[in-house]
Amino acid sequence: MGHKAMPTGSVRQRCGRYTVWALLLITGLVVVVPSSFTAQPKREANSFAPPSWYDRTVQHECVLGTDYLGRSYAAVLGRAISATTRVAFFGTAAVLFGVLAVGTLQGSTQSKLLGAILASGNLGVMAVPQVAVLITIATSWSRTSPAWMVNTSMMAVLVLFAIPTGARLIAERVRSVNQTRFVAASQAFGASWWYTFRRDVFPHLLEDIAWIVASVLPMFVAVEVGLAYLGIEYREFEGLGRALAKSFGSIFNGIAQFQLVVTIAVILWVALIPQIILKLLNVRGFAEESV
Amino acid sequence: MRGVKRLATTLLILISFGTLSVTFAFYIVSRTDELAEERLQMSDVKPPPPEAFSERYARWIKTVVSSRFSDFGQSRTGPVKNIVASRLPITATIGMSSWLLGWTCGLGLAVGLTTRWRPWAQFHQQRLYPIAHAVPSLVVVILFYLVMIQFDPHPSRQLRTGVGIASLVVLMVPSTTALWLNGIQRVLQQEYVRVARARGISSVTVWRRHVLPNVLVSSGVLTQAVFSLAGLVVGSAFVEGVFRLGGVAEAFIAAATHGQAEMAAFATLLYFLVLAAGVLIAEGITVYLDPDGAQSHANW
Repeated sequence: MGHKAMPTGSVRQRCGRYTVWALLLITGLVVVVPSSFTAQPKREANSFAPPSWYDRTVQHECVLGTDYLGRSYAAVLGRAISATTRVAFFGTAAVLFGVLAVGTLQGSTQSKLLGAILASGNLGVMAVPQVAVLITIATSWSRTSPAWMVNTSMMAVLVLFAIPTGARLIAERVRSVNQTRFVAASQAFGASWWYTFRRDVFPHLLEDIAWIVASVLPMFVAVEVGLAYLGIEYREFEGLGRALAKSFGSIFNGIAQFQLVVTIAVILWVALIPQIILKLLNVRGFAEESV
Repeated sequence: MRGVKRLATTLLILISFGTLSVTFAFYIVSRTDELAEERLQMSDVKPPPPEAFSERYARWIKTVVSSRFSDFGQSRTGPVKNIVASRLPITATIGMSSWLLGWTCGLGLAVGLTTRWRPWAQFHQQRLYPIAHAVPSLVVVILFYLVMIQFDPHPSRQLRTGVGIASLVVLMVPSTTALWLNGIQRVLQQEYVRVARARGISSVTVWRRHVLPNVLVSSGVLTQAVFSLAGLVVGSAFVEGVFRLGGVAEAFIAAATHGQAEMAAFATLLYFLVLAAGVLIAEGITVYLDPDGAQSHANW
């Protein structure tokens, strides 16, 4: 008996999954060690050179051509991906910590005061354009202020804006899980609060956490990209936003236009990474209550 | 009576929120004087300290009130009122057109997804909406600009405005559709809709008399529609910049960067007036459709 041939659709699907995992792995490596795949981005007198595997003038690769400063665009893009993704991951981690802390506290205690603060915070977040607040905060610092202080204040605004929505979602879930019989049984058997939370409550929060990550990480990417275009970016920081803004500034140059399209593709990829991972892991990164 | 009380409370909250925001914007921006820093960067002389907030703010309020709201102070390039007046039409056109089109298209699509294209509803809510929500708005605006210049490298102002509005509508539609759809699906499950259908009332009448008014009152669509203006302010800033249209957002950024607190405060005030008008209209509609607040209280 000959072995059964695998359906073509399934093979294609599996190949697709492996390709996406490989791309995610490469992105991860670019984020951790950005210079491992490309040359160091050095300034050369060869701006907007066309793409080539090896450029004799600058004596290194120029797979994506050179940028306005004559640097290998692949190298510039690698560094930009690394910078933007690191900021987005760091910010998302801070938001997640805040959301879990505030949401669990509110869900467990049902405090009226905290509930009112969260509700008004949620309304405030909807009513106040966060980019306008960021512009105002970023420009209020003097030029001599240390970059880390300016960047931290901007990150803090973003984190504060992201907490109320996620915290309400977590609080609601914690409240409903706390009312279940298995949590009551766990407490009746003398389990500590931490044990019950870790073993019985937290697994029910995973879908909400997935949704929060999938919506917060792109927000950090979008804000970095948008602010850089508006000329108000994180200080001493060269991320995807600056790469996009510089390519857009020379849009009528064919090479710059090509680099702009590549940068847009990379931004979309980075912003959609959480969604892609959720799809690959078959996790529902969507909360009905969040719409 | 309950409706009037609700409107009064809303008005009070709006006035406090607006006053706080304008004052905060004035305070933060008044601390910056980038021009002074630039002028004195090469010398040993320290830049002069910015004028005290309280004095400057009091003077601005006095000017605004004594001129009976016809003078909003001076900016580096002229009277604040004139600068905003010259830029407001384009921002208002972009904002209002994309807002109206975005919410109307969203309603149309949501109605379609709950009737004819029902199998696609879940796909929209679980796949399309989260992906569209994650895409940075600037990227979409730039993509629209890129496509436009492939067809016309020297587009007219009208074309740039039209394509800019289209890009904002495309950005808005997935989320507006998701919000309408969520509300419509909840209302369609209600007993009174099933009873109305069982009594043989035509589909159009059921939608017009029962479904849509209840969606408006109970699902929070109105609130979201008003607050989506905040998102449009950001989107409008990108459209104004990318399509080289010039608008209030550009003036606000310039004001914030150069310490022109009067200009920044006036732009903030303008934004809150639009927001307040929207909130009051939304509250008025809710009070008119549900005077006792029974629906809205039951669902919130």
